[in-house]
Amino acid sequence: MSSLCMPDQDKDKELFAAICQKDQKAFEQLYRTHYRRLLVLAYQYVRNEETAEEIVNDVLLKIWMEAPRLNIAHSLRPYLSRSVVNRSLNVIRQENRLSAKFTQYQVNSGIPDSDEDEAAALEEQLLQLEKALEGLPPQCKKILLMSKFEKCKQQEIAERLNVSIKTVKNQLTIGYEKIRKAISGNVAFSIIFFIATIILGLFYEMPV
Amino acid sequence: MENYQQDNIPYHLILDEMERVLSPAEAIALEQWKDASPENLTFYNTVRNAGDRLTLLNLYKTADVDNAWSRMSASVQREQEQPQVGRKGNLLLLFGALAAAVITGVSIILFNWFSTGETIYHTANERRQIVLPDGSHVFLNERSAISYIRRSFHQKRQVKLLEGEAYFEVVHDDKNEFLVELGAIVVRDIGTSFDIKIDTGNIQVIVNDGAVSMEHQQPAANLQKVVLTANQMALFNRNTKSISYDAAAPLNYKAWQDKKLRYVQTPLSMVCRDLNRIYGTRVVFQDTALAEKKLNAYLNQKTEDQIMHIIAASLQLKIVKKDSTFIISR
Repeated sequence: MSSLCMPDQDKDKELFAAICQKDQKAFEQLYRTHYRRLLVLAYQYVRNEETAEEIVNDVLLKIWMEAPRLNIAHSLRPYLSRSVVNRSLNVIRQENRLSAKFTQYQVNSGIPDSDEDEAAALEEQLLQLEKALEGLPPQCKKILLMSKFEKCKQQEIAERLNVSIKTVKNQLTIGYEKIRKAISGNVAFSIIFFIATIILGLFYEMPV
Repeated sequence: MENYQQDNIPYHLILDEMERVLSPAEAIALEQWKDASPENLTFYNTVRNAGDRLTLLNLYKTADVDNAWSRMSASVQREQEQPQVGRKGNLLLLFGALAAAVITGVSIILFNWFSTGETIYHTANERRQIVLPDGSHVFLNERSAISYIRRSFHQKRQVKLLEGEAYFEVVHDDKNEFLVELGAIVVRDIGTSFDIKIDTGNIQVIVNDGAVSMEHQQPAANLQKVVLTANQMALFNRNTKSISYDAAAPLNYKAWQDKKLRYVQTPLSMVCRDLNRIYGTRVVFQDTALAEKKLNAYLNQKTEDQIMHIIAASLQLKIVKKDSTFIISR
């Protein structure tokens, strides 16, 4: 397809125009292009995969249904990010309103209402992180992935790899230390965000 | 090999905390270390942040787009199948239907006006509120109908409940009584608000406030009469033609009208029956034992989503919504 080497923005514009004409194939392509990046963005707030998917689907379905009325051909990506963030915050607000204990808590989002594409920024960070993972020594990387991606406990990793638990701890320490340094470029923002999400996450997971 | 514990950074504690295996004593030690200096706290946050990013990266890499799309395309299809107002062919049809509706409506009104002056209100899948000429309110439930004679209403306040259920809030007038007629049954207002429901076998009257009397007038020589006050209920059995009386009306009889639900140790199965009646909510229990769980709650004008959240939180259940059906699991 000739459009493969098109810049993202032009590609989006083309898809959006086709969606206005109710081209379902174009919508599927748009969906597949944006699903994962928007999913992690929503997840970052709501900390629940199903809820995150619901949010992303709602936002994208709105594009499908109302495309001709939305004047966003030139700013589709920022629009999507902003919609996902707003919906996520609404979900969190709703959750909080439901548990009377937290009525005083207000989500002070500090999300700039600009043309910033938050999903792009997050995606960029994650790709950077992936690169940092690739640069780790093989065993260190393996242990880190088992711990974080496969959700293995340290004891389990030690047993499966036939190493001591102290080795597992050391390798994890080394891994985190390297990653921490690699992604500290945009530390200020992500830490503030991280603290915010931990707080939000606490509220979200809190059994009432 | 590097060992970061030697730098006085309790990495092992942070790792254990991320795995949620931290003992209380260790948790205190970690808190103390975090409090010891701002640098420690910043360091701690960067490590936790790295862990958090890894979780996000995992989701990013493993998210199943195909599955998500298959769920999404169902919604897209549904939306596609709905008639598109504005398409040329359908527009004509729409105008035709509109014109027909207007003509029918106007002729019914004219017919009513010129014949007996009888005004009929009918609901299908909606509920509506009607204000009668005297200022009394009638809340009409789904699939219900009432009628009254407009011309003579000021002289004789009489409403017929033809089918379904209605909640009445009557402007009381000592000189002009308010009557609801249901065939041979007459409900006479002595107070202010009450609910009347016609079922296949019964006519049910429940008083919210004030008092009403329920009378059966056939045969005329044998008049049965029950006077009800607040929160009392009377049932007229249409087969046996007898009126029975209950001093305690069910808690949520008028929830369809005011969206207020009270539950005291009520099994979830009954709660869900109410929600279905009031909101049309569909619920599936993944385990039938869950239907027996007891709920205590006061739900005041909540949406069905909010109610489900409350149930989930108070009974510690997991509730997910799939295609407008709620699935309840442990």
